[in-house]
Parts: sequence; C-alpha cells; structure tokens
Amino acid sequence: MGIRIAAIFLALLLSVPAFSKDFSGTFFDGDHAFRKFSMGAMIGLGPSLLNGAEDIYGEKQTVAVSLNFRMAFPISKRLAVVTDLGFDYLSQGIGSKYSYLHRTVRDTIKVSSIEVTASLNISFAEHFFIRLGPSVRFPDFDETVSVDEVVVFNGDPEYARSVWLDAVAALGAKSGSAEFALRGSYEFLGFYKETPKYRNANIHEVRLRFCFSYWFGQRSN
Amino acid sequence: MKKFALITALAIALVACTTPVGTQPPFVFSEKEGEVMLTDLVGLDFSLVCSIDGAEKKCGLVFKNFHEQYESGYCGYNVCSWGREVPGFLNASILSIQVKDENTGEVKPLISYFQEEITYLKGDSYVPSAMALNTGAPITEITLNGFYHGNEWIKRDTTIAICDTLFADKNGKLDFSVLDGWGNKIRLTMDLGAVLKRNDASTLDSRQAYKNHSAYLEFYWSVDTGLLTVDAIKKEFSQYRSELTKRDGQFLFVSPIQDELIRNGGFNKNTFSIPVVIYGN
Repeated sequence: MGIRIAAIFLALLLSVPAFSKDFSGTFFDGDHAFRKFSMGAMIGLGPSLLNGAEDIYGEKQTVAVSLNFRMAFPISKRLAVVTDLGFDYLSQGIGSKYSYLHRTVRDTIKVSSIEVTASLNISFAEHFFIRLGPSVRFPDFDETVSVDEVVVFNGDPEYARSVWLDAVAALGAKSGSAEFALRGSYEFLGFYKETPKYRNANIHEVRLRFCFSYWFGQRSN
Repeated sequence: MKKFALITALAIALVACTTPVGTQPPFVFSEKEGEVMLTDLVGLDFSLVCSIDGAEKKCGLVFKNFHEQYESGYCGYNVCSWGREVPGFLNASILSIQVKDENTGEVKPLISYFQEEITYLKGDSYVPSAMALNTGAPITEITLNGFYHGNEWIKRDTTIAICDTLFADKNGKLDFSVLDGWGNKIRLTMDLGAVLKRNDASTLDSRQAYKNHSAYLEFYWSVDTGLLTVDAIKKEFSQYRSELTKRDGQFLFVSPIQDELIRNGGFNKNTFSIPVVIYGN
C-alpha cells in the first residue's frame, strides 16, 4: 500500500512540467532560479529526531548524512521542478543497552535509504527560494543485537517498513552554481510498521539537513 | 595544618580503596557447557497453580526457574557479601532435560513449562530486541537452531511452545518425572484431588500482589491441613559429570509446598495457599 501511495505522489509531481504554460505577467514571471534543464549534486548533514523511539530505545536523536544527484526542470521563470536521487544515512543510528536475564544486551539500528524527492521550486526573491514536495525512501535497516558482546542478530528486523514517505520543505538561497538550503522533512508513514506482534511502534522521523548543492553549467543561465 | 589535612586525605583515600565500596553483583553466572545434565544443576523450582474456567477446575505445575546456589563472595572489614549463583546457558543447551507426565506418558522439554523469561540458550534465536522487549506481545514459543547430543551439536531448527502447564489428571493426581539424556531421573507424585473437591469459585480469596512495580489482585485458594498428599521424591541420579553436583540435595522444589513434605512424603501439616487463575467470567 505504501509503495502505491508513493508511486502516485511521485508520478503526479513528475507530471507537473507537462502542465506548464505561459506565466508572463504573473508572480511567477520574475527572477528565476533555473532557466534551462540543470543538473547538480548535493550534500547534506544534520540531525534526525525519531519521535516515539524514546519509549522503545530510550533515545531519539541521531545524526545523518545525505548525498544526492539533482535535476531541475524549469517551468516558468519562478517555478521549477527539482528532483533528487540519492541516499540518506542515519550514520550514528539509535541504540539501546538493557539487561535481559542479567545479561547485557545491546541493540543498535542504523538505516541507509535510497531517496527520491520531487519538489516544486518557487523563487520569491532574487536569490531565495522555497521547495515543497514529497520524498520516497527505500530504507535498508541494519539492526545488531548482541548479548555480552556476542552478536545474536544482525539484519533486517521484521517490523521495519520497506518504504517511507516524507513531506519535504526546504528554504534556501542560490547564487550562480552554489546553493545553500535548510531542508526539513517529516516521515509520516511510520518508521516501523505496526504488526499484531509489535503494537504501538509509532516512530516518525523528523529530519533537518543543512545542504550544500552545486549546479553545473549555471553561468550561461 | 596543611600536613594534617594531607595525611587525613591520604588516610581516607587508603580506607576507601580497601573497603568494599559499591554494590556487589547480586548473582554470579555459572556457565554450563554442552548438553546439560540434571546433575549440572543445583535444583529446579516449580510452582503449583490452579485455574477456573467456568465450571472447570484444574491444578498443575509450572516451571519457575533454576534453583540458585548461594556462594560466599568477597569478605572484608567483617562484611561478607554473598553472591547468588545462577546457571547460564550461553554455551550449552538444556533441551535434553525433559519432563514426562507419568499420567499420560507425554514428554516435553523442561523449558516448555517456563512461564516468564527464557534463559538465553545456545542456538536460541530469541534474544529480544529493544522493540520486542518494549512493544512486543509476550512470547509463547522459542526456536532453537539445534541441540546437543553428548558433545555433538546437532543443527536442527526446533520450535518449542512455552508457558505450558503440567496439569494433574481429572482425579487430581499429579505424577511427573524430570529426565535428562544421560539417564538421570527424579520423580514426584502428589494428590490434589481433595484440594479440587473442596474448592471452587466460591472459596476464592484475594490479596494484593506486586509484579514489575505494579499492583494487581491475586486470587488464591487456602488449602487446609491434610488436603494435599505427597509421595516422597524418588531420585535416581547415576551419572555425575563433576564433583560439584555430587550432593544429596532435594533438587525439586515446589512452591508453596514445604521442602520437608517433598523430601519425606505425607500430607500437609500447615495450611498454605495456591494461586488461582480465572478464565472467562
């Protein structure tokens, strides 16, 4: 079900350029961010808050890094669709240390995910823009459970969801090839799916990334 | 004055180093190896339980835990801390320890009758993740990826339903043996017929009990003098693997029955109470 919703969102957003029309004389006919199809690369770093995880793991904050390949499709002078393909990695992960039958158990979870984002880029001043759109992630969990330093489980937990859906909003400035943005997102499908065995596993990720992008071939813009 | 302060500080530091400070671990693990025999253990703790489901009344036994062995720990400054020694199965399996219901002939692993926590066993796939521990439903089965036969580890997935109860027959006779793969055996027989005959839903009593820091209402039956008959325990231990286990202890403990009654047989000379679980309305 999650995959279908994500696919529909993605298709709708990618179809936006097809509806482009002449925006001359309107708000969208002002300064521009992208005059032609552009490609770029982005690196982001920032905290992730796994809301709800504190009840299970005792902590909820972690640090993540993201790398993206980007494409921008101009629609009008102020509007563009920006798509990102990359990965997001909860490098620090979240973990828990507890005692089970008097033995020390460590449970750590690291997640790397392939991420596809399609967002609508609206330039509202000479260099400033906002970007809104959905993002679909295909996460790969790496959970390690060890008892007294002996690893007893390593792999994908059965309660991990295979697709995440995020609502992404970014605020930034672009000048020439360089772009700085503050990107926030909310993952609303649920980090873990609720199964009959695991109830109330209601974890949602709130991400904040400080991003730097480089757009190729912008001088001729 | 400075010298005095320095000497005092040094003296305090010295005393601090030599006095056992901090808390002694409340237990010590005695790790078993290979296929575990009954004689590797100090004893087994069982509990009597009864249940009412409508008009149906049943009584039986559940396995509570491995009996703890008390060992002297560290002594200093006239204070000795005593460590509880509990068996660990990180490098061993206890699958060959079986319980045989002598009434029916049915044989099940001892861990089938475990009620709450499962000791980490060699080859056990169940060590709870934080998620399973905090949001998971209570486990009702465990899967082992093998078991020992002698010193050989045989890889074979084996799933065991746990939290089982060893029920007495319809006359209230409870007759069971605990066996191991090496021929050691211990048998206990008791008659709960009079307890079942005398009690029903109307004789239930209740009291406040605590578990995991939360209070709940525990129902129980009071068992009057002479209602429970126990045959003296029969122990046939022939193979011993270490000197540690060559003891004449009681080995089987059944709460709340007095140890003396288990050892020598007879009927109960004191009143005691058996917890009762109520199903349905």
